[in-house]
Amino acid sequence: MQLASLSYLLFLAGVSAVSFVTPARARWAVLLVASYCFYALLAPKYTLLLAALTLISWFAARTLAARRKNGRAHSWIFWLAVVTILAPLLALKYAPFAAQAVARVVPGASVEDVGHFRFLLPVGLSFFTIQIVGYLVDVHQESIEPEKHIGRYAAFVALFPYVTAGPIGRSELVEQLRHPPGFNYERVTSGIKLAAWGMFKKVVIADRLGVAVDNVFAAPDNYSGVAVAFAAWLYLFQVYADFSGYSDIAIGSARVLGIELTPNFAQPYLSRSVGEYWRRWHLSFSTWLNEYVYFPLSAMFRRWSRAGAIAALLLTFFISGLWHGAAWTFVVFGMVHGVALVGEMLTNKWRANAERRSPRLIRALTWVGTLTFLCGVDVIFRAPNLGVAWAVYRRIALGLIEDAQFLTAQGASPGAIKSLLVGVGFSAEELVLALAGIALLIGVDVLQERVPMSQRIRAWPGWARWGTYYAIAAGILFFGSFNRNTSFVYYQF
Amino acid sequence: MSQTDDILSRVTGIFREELKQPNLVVLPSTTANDVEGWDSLTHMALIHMVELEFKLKFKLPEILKFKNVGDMCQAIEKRLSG
Amino acid sequence: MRRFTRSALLLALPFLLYFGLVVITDPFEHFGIGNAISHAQKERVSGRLHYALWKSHQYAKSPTRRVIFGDSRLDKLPIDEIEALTGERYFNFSLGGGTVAEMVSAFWFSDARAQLEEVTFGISFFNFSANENMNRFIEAEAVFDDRLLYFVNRSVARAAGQLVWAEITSARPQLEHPTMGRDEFWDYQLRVGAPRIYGRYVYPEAYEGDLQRILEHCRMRGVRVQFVIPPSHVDLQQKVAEFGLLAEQERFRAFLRRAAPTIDFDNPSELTTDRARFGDPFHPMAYKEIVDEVWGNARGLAVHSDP
Repeated sequence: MQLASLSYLLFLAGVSAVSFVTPARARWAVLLVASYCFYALLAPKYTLLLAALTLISWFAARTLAARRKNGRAHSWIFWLAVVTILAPLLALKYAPFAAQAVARVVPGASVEDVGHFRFLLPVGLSFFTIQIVGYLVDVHQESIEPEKHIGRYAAFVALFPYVTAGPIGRSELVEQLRHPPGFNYERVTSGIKLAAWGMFKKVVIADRLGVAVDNVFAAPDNYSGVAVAFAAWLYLFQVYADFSGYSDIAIGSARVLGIELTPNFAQPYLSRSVGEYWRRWHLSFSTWLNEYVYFPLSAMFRRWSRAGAIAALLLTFFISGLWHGAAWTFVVFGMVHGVALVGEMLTNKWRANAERRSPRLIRALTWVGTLTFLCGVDVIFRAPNLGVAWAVYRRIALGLIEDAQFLTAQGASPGAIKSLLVGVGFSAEELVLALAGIALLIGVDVLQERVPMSQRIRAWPGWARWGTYYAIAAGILFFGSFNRNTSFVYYQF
Repeated sequence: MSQTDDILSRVTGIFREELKQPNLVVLPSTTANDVEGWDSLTHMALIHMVELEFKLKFKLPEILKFKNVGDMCQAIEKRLSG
Repeated sequence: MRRFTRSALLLALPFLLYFGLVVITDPFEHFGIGNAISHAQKERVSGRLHYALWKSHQYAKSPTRRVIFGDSRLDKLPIDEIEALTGERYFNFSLGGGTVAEMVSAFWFSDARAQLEEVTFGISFFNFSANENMNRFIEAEAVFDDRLLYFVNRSVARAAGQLVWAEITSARPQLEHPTMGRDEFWDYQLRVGAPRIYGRYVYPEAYEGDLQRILEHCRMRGVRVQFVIPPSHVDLQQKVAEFGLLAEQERFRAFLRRAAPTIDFDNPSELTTDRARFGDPFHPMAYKEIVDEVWGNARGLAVHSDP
């Protein structure tokens, strides 16, 4: 059951209805059963794994807290638990990749010699694994008390709005499961509106852009430089609409159920630096990385002063890249971002001075520069392998020159310009819809930056508010790309 | 000068030297947001210099609890007394 | 809760009313229950709005064992003449602007609904390009896979609107009227249409694979396959050499000839040199001659080959 589907909406409606009529102290049970049914429908073989990791981490957290209270050694329990929790992720996701990488450098070993893992990666494994690890760290560092109630803890780990692809739940979330509130008109409708906007972003904007992106990235050499560059820019917005759309569905759904999750995006494409981007993009993950990876690493390396901090940052981004996928593209993606971030931090003073001298120009340049950088690096993220990424860059570089010559020869006629986008996969109408979608996405973000959209809309007259609701609903129904077999960009993590 | 003031004074000296700001004023309520140049690259370096100065080593959970300079100074004072 | 129910109903109401309209008008005869609007009117409106959606519904209602797949060039073939010549029922699945991708999808759609006996593919060199990859059939397949999607299909909405408007105003729906004069359009097709296709030509290995799969499937089931390369005017034929694609064109022809009986009209002939027998360089009007040579015994306008 995909989150952006009618069956999910019906499922959410059903679970909400049952939850609301259930006494508050037992609502956790409704959420737990619903979440396990949801996960079992998606990945029946791995439901047991989810349950096992839940039990192990719950037991480990309680044991280490008890031993600490009694003054007994407890760190080993923490480390044993973390290794055990990480083991399935490492084995299922990274072992084949590591084996292949090793086979390439070990003389004589062929890729086929190394073990063939036939498991399909369990849905959501990357997300709930690090959520559990974060919980264990928080208990170990005494930031929170371990949850005594196994059912509530299990619901926290497996909550269906976020189990498949986040947002990664902070440990404090368990508290909310003690007494999830019942029906409240404002809260429930707020959640529905947010989920609807998320669905709109996913099925109307992201999937539409994806048609052209998929066509071009499948065979970049078949297209003009303009078409390939265009597809790269489309992907920048596709991945944002897709992932933030999914997050909004998850946060909206959770809100309907009475659980408040933290926002996962804060208008990332308004960033004027890579550092700022990582403070606005996939917040639940970048916060997790900062608290549980970068901070401890930089503490460990602090005797090497600035060099130690740089090493910690690069290692963090290496891990970040790898978390996204077991492939060199993701590693390179992470490292490029890490290097860019280090470069920014080292030139912080110089950039701040330049901005003081010409604020408007520098702000415009840094915004365009940041977006261009993100677009360029996202090519690596999207490409199935580094070869295709290189082919895309090469095609843009060489193709744009060819296209300029072609247009000069043809006199930049409408037919000639149209021919540059042949085969990309857009009819004229679809192209207009795609561009309108991007404009809407950015427009909403620009408005949201100053005042949250929900607040703005609440202040509108009734006809404008309802007009918006009808437009979103009609958009989803009539402009949703339901004939495509869709899945979230971050789904297989 | 009380021990608290002495610690703050020495910490101020470290911050001034590490961040190359000879006139920097550091108060117990000072956080990274208040000081130019105090970012994630320099944060741990500052802590390390403080550890060297006071000949102690903080544990990670302690460092995590530092919300401002005052928290760090209190941790130092606790270590020196205990 | 009452407020919530009220709001939900208020939100749903216009959509429910619209869904009711779709059932009553049934622009593409999906339900086959609404007689509010005549079949002829629906064919004029819906048939032109979305060829794939219209034709797939017509075929599903009354599948035939002999099917023709092609684009606008074969779309206007007189089916009654083919049926008179052969004594068999035919369905013309040719779609205006059709691509090989759509022909492939239409084949599998037909194959799922009838025990096919004969299939004819009308493919030109300019269809046979990787960049001619539009597939409106995907939308039609989606509607058949999930009947609820009929209610939210944009073409259905457009058709319903136009049909209702036509009923109210008794106006005859006008669709697809070219705005240029004949000579101007002829020139436009050569100046703009040809470069759009040949300028970015890429040989479609994927289409070869798709057609091979169809041929294999037909071979196993004893279905007769034939290829027709419809005629284009020599003005357009010359563009192939102009864009340096003669080798690709020969490769395309050789592939078809190897695969199945092929009737190739796209050569200089008394037909293709006669401007009067073409609407524009792409579109011949000599439908009877094509039918006589493909399904009858006439010879002389095309090169016939057997693998």
